[in-house]
Amino acid sequence: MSSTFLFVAFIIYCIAMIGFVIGITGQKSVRVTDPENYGRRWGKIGIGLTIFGFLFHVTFFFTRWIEAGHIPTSNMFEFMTFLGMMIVLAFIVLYLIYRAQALGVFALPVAIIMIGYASVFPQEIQPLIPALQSYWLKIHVTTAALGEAFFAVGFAAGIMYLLQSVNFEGTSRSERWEQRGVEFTLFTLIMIVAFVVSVFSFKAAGYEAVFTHQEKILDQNKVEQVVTNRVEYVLPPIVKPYQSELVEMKPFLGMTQPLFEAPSWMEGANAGRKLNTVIWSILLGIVLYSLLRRIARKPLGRALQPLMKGIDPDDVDEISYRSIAIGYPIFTLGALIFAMIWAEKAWGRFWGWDPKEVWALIVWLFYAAYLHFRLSRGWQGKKSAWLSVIGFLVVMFTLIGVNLVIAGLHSYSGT
Amino acid sequence: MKKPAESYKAGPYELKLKAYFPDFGMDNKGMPLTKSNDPVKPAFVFEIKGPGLKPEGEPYMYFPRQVDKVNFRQDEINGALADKLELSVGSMDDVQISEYISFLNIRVDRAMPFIWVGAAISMIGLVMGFYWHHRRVWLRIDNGRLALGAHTNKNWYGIRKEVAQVLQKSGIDIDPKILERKEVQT
Repeated sequence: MSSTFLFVAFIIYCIAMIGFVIGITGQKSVRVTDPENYGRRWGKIGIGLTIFGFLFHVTFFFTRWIEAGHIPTSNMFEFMTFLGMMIVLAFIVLYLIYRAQALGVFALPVAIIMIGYASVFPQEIQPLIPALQSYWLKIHVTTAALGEAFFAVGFAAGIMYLLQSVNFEGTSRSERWEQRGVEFTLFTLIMIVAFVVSVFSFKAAGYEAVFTHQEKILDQNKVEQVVTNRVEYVLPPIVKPYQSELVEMKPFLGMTQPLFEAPSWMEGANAGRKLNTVIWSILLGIVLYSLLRRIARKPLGRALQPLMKGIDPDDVDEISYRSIAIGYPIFTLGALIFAMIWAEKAWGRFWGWDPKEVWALIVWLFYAAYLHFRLSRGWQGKKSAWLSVIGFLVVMFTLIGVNLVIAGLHSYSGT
Repeated sequence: MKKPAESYKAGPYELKLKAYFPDFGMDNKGMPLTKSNDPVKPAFVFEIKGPGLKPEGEPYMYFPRQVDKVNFRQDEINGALADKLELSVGSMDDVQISEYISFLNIRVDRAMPFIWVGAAISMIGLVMGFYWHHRRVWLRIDNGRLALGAHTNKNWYGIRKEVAQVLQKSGIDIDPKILERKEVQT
């Protein structure tokens, strides 16, 4: 029941984003007599729709809370949808401060991609594992997510600044690097979209492949035993798990056998499937990127640049900074201080160099460096925009990469 | 098993403890080592002196557990000496071989109040630094010339826009951008 609300919210966000795009692009149309008024009107429609969608999203959140009996921030699906909701909230806050319609064109897609990515993960309601049964789950996870959401909006504004100020005609070394950096960032976003779309298409088509592989484990009496594990693939297996047997595989484009075997040094649960997913994401990302580039007939950064015409770069720069400045104290409180209090209560130490703790600290130090460079060294404009983009990539690694790649105390939220 | 005595006497023989491995194992070069300090697979190396043995003593390796004796081939290690001697104990009943170890770790971190106070201070600092803002607007008349100034520590964009709106209401149309001079930023 609750997931219907999420779906509706998702659709409304998409429409709101289109509203903002119309507001921005339509201003340049010759048929519009009063561009300022036109932009303002579409901005109102956009933000109205966004708030409307946000209400649906909040309804989803609370109905799922009632259904599950605990706050829905306990696994990857729930957390990512919550993060999407917080990004929309952060966007609404910043929009109300600055009334910049163009921000909607870039901040909403970040939230939309986040919700889309969330839905790849299993959506069943799971009972709360004992480690999470504490009221700190509500406090720590929500505040940390809200802080990160402001960083996400800072990232969106940082991209806007770069799209506007990078010289896409330039041929000098540094200009080339900047063009590549912008393309790479856009490629990363496109890759996530391609990944989400492919998982859904293959799921809808009912594709599956099953492998078994034998694993040696020590049982209770410290005697080695061989256990057979089943690994199920949603995407066609390019890579099969290390030393595994093919049980069942539906042919895909004439491919009836996996092409490679995962290397033995990749450890961890389901390493083969994860590697397969990564390969598929990159391949499909390249396909979708080159398709878009064919259509645009130029690098995507240059294709998007006209969207930013008529917007003052200094304003965008300030939005990016302000967003991060708002998010930073919230992040400190949620991801470090509340986390420390909870860790002290749950694990008996406030800091234990768990991978997630380390990465939260890296994020915190990175944005501390961002603020210092900006406020005392005067790093404004491009430098600060690059930092906000890289900073958010670090945030994403902390949220997703650490859970999926590195095993640690926080790995319960991975799948 | 925790702290074996240095030497033992058994009839005419004298045993001197040369080495003790509570949890016997081999490293990858084949050298003996102990994997932990808990008596899991204890092993003793004695130097035995006595009748029929070399005067400077002969080394003898002893595994109390029958499993280890077989697994680590005690008799083959000891070679010729194993044929002459057999070390055995009367009873193993009062000997504890550890299999599972559980422990309760009690820690008191007296630094915690300082950590929390520090965290609170930094939070107060961050909130003051990032959320408190102040703005001032000056008006001054010098010899019939009106000068208008505005200062803020946050949201320069907002104050520019608002000053421009105020000016617009009093009939002066001005682009908010022009109001800002870069060097005023703090």
